[in-house]
Amino acid sequence: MSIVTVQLGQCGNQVGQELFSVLISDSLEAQRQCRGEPGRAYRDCSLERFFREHNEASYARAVLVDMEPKVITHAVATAAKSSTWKYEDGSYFCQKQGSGNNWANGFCVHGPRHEEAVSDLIRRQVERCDRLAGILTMMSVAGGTGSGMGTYITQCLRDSYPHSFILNQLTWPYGTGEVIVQNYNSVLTLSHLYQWSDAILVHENDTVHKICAKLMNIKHISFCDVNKIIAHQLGSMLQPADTVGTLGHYTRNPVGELLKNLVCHSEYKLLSLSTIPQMSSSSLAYSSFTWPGLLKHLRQMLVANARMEEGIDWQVRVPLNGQPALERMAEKTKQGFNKSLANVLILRGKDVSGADPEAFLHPGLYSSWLPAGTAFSTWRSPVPFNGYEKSATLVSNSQSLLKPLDNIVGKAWNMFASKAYVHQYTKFGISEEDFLDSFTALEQVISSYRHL
Amino acid sequence: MSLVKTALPIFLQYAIYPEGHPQTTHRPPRDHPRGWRIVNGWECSGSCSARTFRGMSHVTSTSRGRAKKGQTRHVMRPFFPASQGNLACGNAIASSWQRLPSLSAGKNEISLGAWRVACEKTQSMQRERSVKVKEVIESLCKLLCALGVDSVPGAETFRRAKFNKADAVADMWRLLYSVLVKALRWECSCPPPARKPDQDAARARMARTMLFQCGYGAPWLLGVGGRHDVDAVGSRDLLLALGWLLSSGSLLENLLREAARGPEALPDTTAVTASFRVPGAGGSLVDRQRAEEELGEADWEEGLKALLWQHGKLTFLRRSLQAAQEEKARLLHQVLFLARCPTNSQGCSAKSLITSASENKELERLKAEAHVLEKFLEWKDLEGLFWCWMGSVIDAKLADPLRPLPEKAVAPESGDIPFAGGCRQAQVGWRAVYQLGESLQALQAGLRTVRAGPVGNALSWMKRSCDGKDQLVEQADIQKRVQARLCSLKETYTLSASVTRYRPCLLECPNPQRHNPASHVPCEVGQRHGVRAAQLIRELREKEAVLRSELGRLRQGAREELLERAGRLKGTVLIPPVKSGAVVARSHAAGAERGVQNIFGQRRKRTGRNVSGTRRRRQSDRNAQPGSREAAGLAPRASCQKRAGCERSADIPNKRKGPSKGDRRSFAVIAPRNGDGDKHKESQFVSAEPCPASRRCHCDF
Repeated sequence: MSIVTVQLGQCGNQVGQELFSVLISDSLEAQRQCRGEPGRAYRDCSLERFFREHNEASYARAVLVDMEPKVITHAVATAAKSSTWKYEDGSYFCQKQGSGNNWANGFCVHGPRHEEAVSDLIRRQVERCDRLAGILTMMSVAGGTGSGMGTYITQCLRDSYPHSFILNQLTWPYGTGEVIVQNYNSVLTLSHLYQWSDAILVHENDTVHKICAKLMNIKHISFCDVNKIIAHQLGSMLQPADTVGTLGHYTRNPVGELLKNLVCHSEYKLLSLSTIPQMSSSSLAYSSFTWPGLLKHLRQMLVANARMEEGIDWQVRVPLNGQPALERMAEKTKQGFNKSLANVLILRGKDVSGADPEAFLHPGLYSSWLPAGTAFSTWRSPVPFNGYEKSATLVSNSQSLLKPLDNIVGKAWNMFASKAYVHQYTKFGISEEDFLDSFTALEQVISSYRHL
Repeated sequence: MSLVKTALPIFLQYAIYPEGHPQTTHRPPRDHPRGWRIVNGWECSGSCSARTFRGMSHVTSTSRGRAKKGQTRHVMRPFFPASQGNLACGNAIASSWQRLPSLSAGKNEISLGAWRVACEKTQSMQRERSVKVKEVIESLCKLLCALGVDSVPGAETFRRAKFNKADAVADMWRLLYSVLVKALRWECSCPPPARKPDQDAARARMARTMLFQCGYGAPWLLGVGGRHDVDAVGSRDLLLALGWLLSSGSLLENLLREAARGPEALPDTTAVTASFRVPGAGGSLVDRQRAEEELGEADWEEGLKALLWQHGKLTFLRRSLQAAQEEKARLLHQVLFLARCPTNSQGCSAKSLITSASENKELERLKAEAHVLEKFLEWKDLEGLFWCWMGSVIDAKLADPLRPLPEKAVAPESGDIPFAGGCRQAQVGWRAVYQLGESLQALQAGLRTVRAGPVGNALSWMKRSCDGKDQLVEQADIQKRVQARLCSLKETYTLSASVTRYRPCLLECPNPQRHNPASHVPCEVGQRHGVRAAQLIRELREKEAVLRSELGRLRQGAREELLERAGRLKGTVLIPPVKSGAVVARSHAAGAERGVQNIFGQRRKRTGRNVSGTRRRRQSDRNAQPGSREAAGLAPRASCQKRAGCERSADIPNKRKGPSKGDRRSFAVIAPRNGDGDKHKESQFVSAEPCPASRRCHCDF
C-alpha cells in the first residue's frame, strides 16, 4: 500500500519536496498529539504510504527527474538537512541541459532519450512496495521538462503499469504569464494527459497566490510559499483517512478509493482541491472553529466556485430541484453556480464523527444523471492535520476549472491562429496537426464540463 | 504423459480390467483388429431413452462381435453430451483428441497409431506404479474426506457395491446424501432430517430427490417398473449414481474451490448495482419498447453517461482487487520465505511472528488447503483408473439379465417423493420443451407462408398487368438485371476452386512420425504447391481489388448519405476523431445552431471587430469552395493541416454563416443549450474580428 511519487521538472521537484516535509512532520506530530493506538496507526499508515523505513531512516518513495541539476540538488540537500527523512541515493535523474520551456523538446527529445533510465528508477521504487497503491506524478504545465517530459513519462507509466492508478498533480501557471508559450504547453500537456492519466489534479498558481496574500498574510510571496500551500492541500487529501465509516481503520487503497469516487467517467478527469481553514500559524493559535461553520463555508465555496473562504459570493444558490427549465439554469449559470459531478469531503480533527455533511447531499449540486448518494462521499480521520485542530478538504470534480481551462485554450488558439512560435514545436516533431488534435480534445472536455 | 492422463478414462477401459474380467484383458489392436467403438452405453442397454441420460457418457466395447472384421481404420467416436453438465472427462477427452499427434480426418476420430501409443504408455505406467484399484478408491475416499464430505465409507464398500451386495446400500445412500448436501447450493433453508430412527431412510429419500433434480435419470429413479421404494435400489445403482455425479460437471473441482476459498470475500458490489438504474431497463419487451418511445434523447444520453460511470467504477474496483491479490501473494511469499530459514535472525523474528494466534490460524488454514490439494492431485493421478473400474461396474450391470420394463415410463406420484417440486419442475420442463417445439413448427409454417406471400402477390400482380406489353419488357429487363447482379454477387462471394482446394492440400500428407508440431512447417508442401500458391495470391489480389473498389463505392455512398442526413440535422458538426479513437461527434438539440452563433456573436461583440474581416472571410470561403467532405468537417487530416489555422473555418458548413477565423471553436463542438442567440444573429454578420488568420488567408488567395 504505497504511493510512488514522480517529481518532474523544477515545479514538481519543489512541490514534491514540500509535500514530503508536510507528510512526515504531520505523521510525527500525530503521534505526539494523539497518544496511543490512533496516533500510531495513523503514523504507520502514512509512513508506509510515502516512505520506506530502512536502517531507522525514512526514505521517500520518490523519483526525481529534471533536466537541470540545480533544483534536484537543492531538494535532496533540504531533505537531508531536515534529519527526519531523505531521498534515496540514486533515486534522481538529471541532465546538464534543460528543455528551454519547450514542451516539444521535453516530449519528443528528452522523453524518449531518457525513458529507460527514468523507467528503471521508477521500477526500482515500485518493486520496493508491498503493494503499489498508485503513482503520483507532480509537474507544472507551463515549463518544458515538467510538462513535456512528464507527459511522456506518464505515457510510459501507463504502458508499464496498465492496472495501476495514475494521478497527475499539475500546477497551472499564472494567468499573466511566466513563459510566453505556457498556453501551448498547457494545451499539449492537458490533452495528452487526458488520454493516459486516471485523474488530473489541478492547482492554479493564481488562486494559491491569492490564498497566500489574503489568508496567510504574506507580504512578499515566493514560490516556496505557494508550494507550501499546495503541499498542505495535497497532504490533507493524501494522508490516511477512514473511507468506509470505521474510525481508526485506514484503507490500503487510498488512490483507488479516491478515483473510484471521483473520476469514473473518462470524459471528466479534472479535479480541484479546496481546504478550509487556511491561515498563518501565528493567528491559528487564537482561532477556533466549529464543524457546522466550516462545512457551511466549504459548501458555499463549492457552490460559488471560490477557492478560499474569504470573499465568497453568498448570493449564489443551488438551483431548485425539479425545475430544470433552461432559462432558470442559464440564469443560475450566469450567477456563477458551480455544478459538480462528484465530490469527496475529507474531514480531519477533533469531534470529527459529529460533523454532518448533509448539506453536500443536495441533489441540485450534482448532475442529473448521477445521484447525490453516489456522487458524494465523506472520509474522516480523528487525527488533526498539520497543526489545524479541525480542517476540511473538498476534492471536487466540478465545473470550477472550466473557466481557466477555457482561458488557456482561447489564448493558445489565438497564438496558434497567427502561427506564433509554432515553428519552435514543429522543429522537434510536433506538427500542426498534433496541435489541432489537442485543441479538439480540449474543446471536447470543455464542452463536456459545460453541459454537465 | 498428460495426454495419457486425460485420455485414460477411455483407453484404460480396454487396457485393464482390474477384477473379474479376464476374458477381455487388453490386447494390442494389431492382434485384435476389431473396431473399438465408444457408444452411449445406456443406449445399448436399451433400458432407457438416450435423452434421459443426456448427462452421461459411457464407454462400452462392441468388440463382442459387433464390429466388422478386417476394418483397417479403427474409429472411436465418443458420445459427447451437449447438455450443460458436460463431463469433465468428456472435455478432457475432446481436448486430448485435439492434441493427438496423428489427428487424421476428423476431430473425434483416433487412428490406430495414437491408440497404440496410448496403450503402450498406459501399460508402462501400470508396470511402473502397479496401482491396485483399492488404492484408487481409497484416494477418492481420502479426497472426499478432505473436502469435508461426511460419512465416507471404505474402499471395501465400493467393491461390494459393484457386486450389488445389499449390505452396501445404506453406506452408499449416506455417501450420496452427504456429497449432494455438500455440493448443492441451497436457495432455501432446507432443514436436515432430524435425528430419528428412520433418519437414514429420510436421508435416502432426500438424496434421491436431489439426484433427480440434478438431472440423473436412471430407471429406478424415474420409478420405471413401479420400483419407487428406496429400499429396492441396489447398491450398484447407487454406485453408478455416484459415478455419474462425479463425472457430470465438475463436482470435485467445485468442492475444492469452496474448500480452498480464503476468508476474505470479494468487495461488496451490491452498492454498485443498487445505485445504478438504466432508464427503461427491466420489465417486459413491450414495456421496454414503450419506454423507448417515451424516453427522450436526453434521458438516453444521461443513462449512457451513468452507465459509463458505473463501468469506470467497476474498472477501478477490478484494479484495486488485482492490487490486493498481488499484495497478498507477495506477503505470503515473504512469510513463507522467512519461515523457511529459521537459522538467521530474521527467521527467528518470523518464527515469533508466526506463533501469534492469527498467524497460527492462517497457517492451519494453509496446511489444510495444501492437504486438500495434495489429495486432489493424487486423485487426479489415479482418476483414469477409477473410471476404468467404473466401466467394469457398468459392464457388470449390463451383464445382469435385463428386467422386463413396462412400455411406458411413468413418473412417480408426487406423494412418493418428499420434494415433489423437482419432479413437477421436470415435467413442466418437458412440457415447455414440447411447447417450444410446437411453437417452432408454427413459426416455421408462418415463415413459409410469409415467404410465399410476396412472391405469390407478385405473381398475381404480374398476371394482372400482363396486358401491357411495355410492362412485360420492363419486367424482363428487371429480372435480367437482378439475375446479373445475383450472378456477380455469387461469383464475388463464393470461394474459387483454388481456394477451396488449397486447405485440404495441407492436410493430405500429415506425417504421423512427427510429433513435434514445429516440424509441421509445410516446406515440402509449399514447394509442391508453389505454383498454386502464386496463382492463389494473384486471384486473391484481384479479389481484393474488386472488394476494395466495392468498399470505396459503398463508403462513398455512406458518406453521401451521412452528409445528406447531417445537412438535415441542425447544428451538427462532425469532427475528425481524436487520436485515442474517441469519436467526437455530438448532435445538438434544436436551436443549438443559434447557440453556436450566439457564442460567436458574443465573442466578437466582446472584442469589437470591424466589418471588413467578415467580408474578406466570406470571400475566402467562396474561394476555398469547401467540398462536401470539408463541409461536414470530415476533411482528411492532410488537407486540414495544409490549411491549418488560417483556413480552418472553411471546413465548417456554410450554414454557420461565417464564424471568425480567429475563433478556435470553428471546428470543435459547442452546444450551449440556451437558445437566446437570435438577437445576436445580425450583429454577428456585421461585427467580426480582423484576426490575423483571416488576413493571412486572404493573402494566400
